[in-house]
Amino acid sequence: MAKYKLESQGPAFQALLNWLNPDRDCAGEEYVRLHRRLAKIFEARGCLRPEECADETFNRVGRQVLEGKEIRTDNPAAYIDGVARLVLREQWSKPAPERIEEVSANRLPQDPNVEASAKSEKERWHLCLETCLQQLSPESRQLILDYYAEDKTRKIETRNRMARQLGVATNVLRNRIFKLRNSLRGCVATCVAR
Amino acid sequence: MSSPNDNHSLIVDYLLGRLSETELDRFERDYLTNENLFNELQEVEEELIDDYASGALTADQRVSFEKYFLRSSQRQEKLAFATAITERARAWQSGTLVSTERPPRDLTSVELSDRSNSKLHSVFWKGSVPAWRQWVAIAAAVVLAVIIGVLWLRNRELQRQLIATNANYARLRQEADAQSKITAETKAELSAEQQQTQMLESQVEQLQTSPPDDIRDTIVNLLLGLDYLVGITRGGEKKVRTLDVPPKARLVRLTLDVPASSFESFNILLRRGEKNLVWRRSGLKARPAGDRRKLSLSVPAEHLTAGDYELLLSGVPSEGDAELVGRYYLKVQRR
Repeated sequence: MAKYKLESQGPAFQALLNWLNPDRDCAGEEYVRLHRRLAKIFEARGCLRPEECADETFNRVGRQVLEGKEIRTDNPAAYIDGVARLVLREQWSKPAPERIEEVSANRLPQDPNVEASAKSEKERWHLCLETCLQQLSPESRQLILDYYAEDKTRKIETRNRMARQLGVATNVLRNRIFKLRNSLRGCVATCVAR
Repeated sequence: MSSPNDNHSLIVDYLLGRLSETELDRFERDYLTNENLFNELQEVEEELIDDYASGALTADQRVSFEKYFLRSSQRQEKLAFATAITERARAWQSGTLVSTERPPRDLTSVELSDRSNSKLHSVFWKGSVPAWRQWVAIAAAVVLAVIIGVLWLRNRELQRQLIATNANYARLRQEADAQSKITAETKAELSAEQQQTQMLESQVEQLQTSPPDDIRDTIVNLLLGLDYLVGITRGGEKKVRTLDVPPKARLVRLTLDVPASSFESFNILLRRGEKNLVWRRSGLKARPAGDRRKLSLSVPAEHLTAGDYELLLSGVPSEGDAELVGRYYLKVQRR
């Protein structure tokens, strides 16, 4: 299977956006929202490159719209979901060759230095994590470390205590943790990839 | 979708691949359009990863997580992050990691995604010493210093005692040497006296076997009265008593008058000049003779060659050393 790439500058993409919503800005937002969800579905279904599968789904819908195919639905999301399942089936029937960097480490041939390499990788993660933690404010650092140090078997109790200390509701705390984690993980991923 | 709790278990089952194909399709269509459900899905996914990293999943969940959930490289990367930060947080909490700028416990002013405050602080990873251990180390160092100080003082005191003991030992050693010297001298004197006694006994045996007339010629008697005694305290004029020794004389018997005293015994030393000792006897008992007391001293005649002699008389009290009583002076003439 050829690599999937979003034809974001082509006429098919413009036709897609127009089909999603005649308002250009609303169409853009809807595209981003649906793309994230599709990627999540592809990821959950074992697609090795879920983002590219989502791109391919939108490419196909865009081409169909551009070619004038009559799509009778008042729910574009449901139609896109149907196309996504076709892409997914193609994925299952013709598995794409895996990129070496995406192959799970335990599936690669073992070499004598694999242990040292894993250790080095782990040290790298820790080093990057430390660097990124230092870029947080002391309070944010305290919050994220408290969260990860908690006894996960007493999650509700611990989070209620943390929320009380912050003076916020638990769902607000959860939201803060979610954003903080994403921010920190993005920093670490960038650092490790360097 | 119904309650959040139902959603939670449904999402977990979805993420771990435990839904049937029909359930899967329905759930995915739901979250494709349901904003809240999608957000909840993302949160549960993050929690699932965190739970796995901290070991909070059940055995069944772990198996499904490893076989199904981790097929995605993005999820593997998320797990690597969760594992690293969980280890970091636990090290920080257990005290094996110390931050010199530890955040306050009051979290009311938390600012999420705050990257503006990038002030670096010193953080030590595993292997560094936590604060309480540093205090324990300082306390231990102080105690050690005190112990060393006490030991140093004690050592100095012991050295001082050792020096004093050595000096005492040296003094005792000197005294012992001196005593040994005296003992040796005493032994030598005793040995000399024993030889003299044997000699005298031998001569007395010979005299006993001699005819009576011969005995008269062979024994010379001489009395040394008090007027010949030159005392140490009283002083007195030096008078010399002449002793004529005939050729046949074998023994000279001197009888000394000694003044009354409390001495238990007497020592006599006969000499020519200062260094030439001729005869000596010790432990002689004085016998009373009227208002006086007398001492007898027998000397082989062969030892008395012509010349001037000095006879020293010492008294030995019941306790203490002998005291010089006085001197007699003799002039020996051989015919």
